[in-house]
Amino acid sequence: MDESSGVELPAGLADSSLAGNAIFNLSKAVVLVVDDNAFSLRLTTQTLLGFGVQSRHQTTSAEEAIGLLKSYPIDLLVTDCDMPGKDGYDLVSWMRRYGQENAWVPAIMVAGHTPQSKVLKARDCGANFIVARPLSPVVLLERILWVAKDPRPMLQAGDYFGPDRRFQDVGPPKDIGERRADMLKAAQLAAQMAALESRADGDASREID
Amino acid sequence: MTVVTWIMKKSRLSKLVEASGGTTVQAALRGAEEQTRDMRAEAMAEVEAVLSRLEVMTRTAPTGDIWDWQDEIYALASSLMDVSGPFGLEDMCAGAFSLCELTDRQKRGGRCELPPVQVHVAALRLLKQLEEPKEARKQVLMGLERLLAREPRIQG
Repeated sequence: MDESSGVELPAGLADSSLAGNAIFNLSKAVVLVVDDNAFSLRLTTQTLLGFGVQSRHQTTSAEEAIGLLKSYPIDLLVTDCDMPGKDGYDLVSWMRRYGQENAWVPAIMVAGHTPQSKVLKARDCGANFIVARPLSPVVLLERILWVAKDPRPMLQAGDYFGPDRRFQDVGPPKDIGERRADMLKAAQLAAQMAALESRADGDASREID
Repeated sequence: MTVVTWIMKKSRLSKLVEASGGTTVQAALRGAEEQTRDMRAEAMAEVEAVLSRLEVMTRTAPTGDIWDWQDEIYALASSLMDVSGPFGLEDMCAGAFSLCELTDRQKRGGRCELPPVQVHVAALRLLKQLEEPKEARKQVLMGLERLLAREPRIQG
């Protein structure tokens, strides 16, 4: 219940990070939804329709999704993780490598059960997020707005292409000094050593005199 | 040495969501509820279909490839979560999650045991039948939790 207006809030909104009166616009976004379960596929696309998404592509296989990615530019990919044949991880990985203009598109992966192995796999294939089911409207909207505002840059490193896998820049490890500080310290020490040596040379030459 | 290339590129989505017009979060969520309301009956039918399939599959020990059988149980439990979760069947969804976790742990441990799977499927049927009281459903889920705790968790 919204205390200010006395109106019943949509399910889950009170427990989410979303502000009920925040405004967003998805009317011009093109979303591709991929799920081998036809019912879940329809549920997700209907939910997106409720969010104001006017243009949606949907398919039950990753192979077909690749065909769509080759033909149409999209703005968001929502894909199931586990599918027969090529799965959601293969799809995101393909999109990042060969998707051309779609290579930068935010990707949300959805799984019923998310053990650590799946989370790591989703992270390493280049997805922005993995979401555990049930995919309620509030959770889906929250994640879409998160990926839209995701500040992480994209990066390519070795086999990996996708968003920076670090969510936080925590700096260097606590017990190891900063490299620049170490270099300054080493330079200072070298200068002190040189000064001592030159003073010792001076003393020695005076003794000879 | 690995070369790291940073690409500071803003997605088109980030610009679109900020465009003028649009809707409030509250209105969007109401819109989504309206668009999916008619799917509830279909979801309940799907829950029944998946449950029946699970019951048939777990009546006797698997005769073919046990790992295929286990994968199918996992997939069915996962699809049960898909259809039950968004329509207020949170307990059914929790029971289905427990079955996913059980089969996943067994697979990682290189085992495939029928009795705990059978208990889960029977519990799911009970959760569907027990509309009220909530306490009874909670007891069923606690039982599944205890059963799951016996399965060693293998990381990786």
